[in-house]
Amino acid sequence: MNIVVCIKVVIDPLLSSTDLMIDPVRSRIVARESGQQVVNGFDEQALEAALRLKDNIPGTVITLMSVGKQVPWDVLRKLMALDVDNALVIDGSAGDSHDPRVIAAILAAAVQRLEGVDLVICGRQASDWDNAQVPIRLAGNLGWPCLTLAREVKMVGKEIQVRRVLLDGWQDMSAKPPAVITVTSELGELRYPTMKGRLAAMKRQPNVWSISDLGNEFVEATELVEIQMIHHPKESNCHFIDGESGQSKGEQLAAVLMSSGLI
Amino acid sequence: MSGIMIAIYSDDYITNESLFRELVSLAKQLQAQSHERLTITVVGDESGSCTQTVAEYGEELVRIAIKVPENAPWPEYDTEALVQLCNELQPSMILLPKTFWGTEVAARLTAILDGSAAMDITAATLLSDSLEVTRTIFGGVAEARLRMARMPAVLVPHPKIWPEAEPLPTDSSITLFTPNIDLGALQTIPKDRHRLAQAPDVAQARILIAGGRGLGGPEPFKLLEEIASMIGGQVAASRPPVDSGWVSGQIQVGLTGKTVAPDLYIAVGISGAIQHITGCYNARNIVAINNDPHAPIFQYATYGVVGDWQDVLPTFYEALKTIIKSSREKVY
Repeated sequence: MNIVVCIKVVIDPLLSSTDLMIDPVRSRIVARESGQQVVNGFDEQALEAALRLKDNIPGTVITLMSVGKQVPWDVLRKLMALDVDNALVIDGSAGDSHDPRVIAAILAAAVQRLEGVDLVICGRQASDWDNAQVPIRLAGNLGWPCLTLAREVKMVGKEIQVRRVLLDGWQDMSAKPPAVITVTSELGELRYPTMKGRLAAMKRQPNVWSISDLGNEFVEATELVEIQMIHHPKESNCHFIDGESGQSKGEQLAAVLMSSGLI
Repeated sequence: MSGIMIAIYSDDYITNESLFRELVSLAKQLQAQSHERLTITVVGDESGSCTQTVAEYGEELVRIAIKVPENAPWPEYDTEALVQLCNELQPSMILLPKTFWGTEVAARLTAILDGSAAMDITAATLLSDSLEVTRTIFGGVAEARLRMARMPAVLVPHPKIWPEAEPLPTDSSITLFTPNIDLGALQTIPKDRHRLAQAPDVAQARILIAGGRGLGGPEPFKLLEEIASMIGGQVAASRPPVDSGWVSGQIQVGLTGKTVAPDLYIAVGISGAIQHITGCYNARNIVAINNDPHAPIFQYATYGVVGDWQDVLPTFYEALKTIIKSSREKVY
């Protein structure tokens, strides 16, 4: 089985908003310090889903795919410490577009050029723009079925089956490969690499394609006018409850909330 | 293309009617500027309570119901049905709720109709030659202004931005739209569906007591339950307890969960990552209990307790019990 896992490198979502700023042309958000980029959390879980399939299906090949202008290899390389066969970086500034129409079209062109792909697994959404649009549009561009919000992914006979998370439970859904799957956090965390894998990853390099080689024109459906910060945490005006111990603070808190009418 | 269409999934309507009412407000705001026809389409239920209530939102509306067969894959079937309806009505704007269904239908519809989509919008303005929207990004830390360059524009508003529209009495009727869909030609196949008991909607609660990673397991949520039921509140959670399977995803607050705005939000063992804050930022009062004095949650809190929840919560509970009991005795 030939699996592509789409990986987006994002600014660490656990940074405080004071660690973020806008670039001079108000077109993107950047971290104040370098080295604050991570693999999008849901994409790590997409890789975990692929690795679980590989655990059970001999001969499975996993290729990581990421698009953007100068995707930081030091961030992606950490994933190469796991049982990943290839990494493909699609380089070009169009890959940094905010617009899911563009990103999906680039990914689709790359998947088609790879040939023989059975499954594309993506995280359900990226933590920067939280669109949850690219995987579904990618499936649309490829003409493939899309199974979403998977907490489990497995092959059942010739069908790929996912357990989809619903607000009030779950539902099993299946489709015939090739297919696109989105994975949700309930699937569980990405496994840890071995020391041997980590050392081996130091020497690995990605294949790099240029977006311009993919031959299409990628046109945005939404024009980005500008970006601005809106949320600066105010000087904290938190009233801290005093007390000698946690127990006495608990009692104090109850009294304060009752007397202020909040309870 | 002309017309504004709201599309809503009957399950979403039943569990979160306020999202629907917010869509109506947004639609009416756009309609006041564009004077285009407004259509409300309910997908999934032909004659249920929701289509009856939907009929009460203003008589200038066109109301359409699309019945979805029991064994149809959602939202592939729903999308296909809406595509056929859109081909007939040619709306220039399509409004969808911020739910699993709305988010996915937005992507599928936009792809098939090759329009433009904007998620999490907080403002929409019709300019002389285009539609411009503002949307939150980075978990609400920043916002982006976008010009919708392709029609139809598919818009998914951020919850609790637009006011909830009030129903207007009317006697107008509902049209049933029957799409022409061959189930066998669809690409995804639905199998077993397992429903959990419906938890009360955290988005409607006046008081929430939410637990996070710091609680360490499912057991402490029982204490949260006891406190919640005593003070007329409900229990919520941040993402880690849901991911770890301690509690149901139905009560998750944050970017991938619900957006809430209760009068009182008590956060226990929640550090306050942006993706959680974005879901509870509009609470009138946040109370944080956390053993890390530098946890970001304190920046948003009205009252804070630095301490281990295992020390703080039991005495908090007992003290509340005593105070509530004595205040009842005073009343009677």
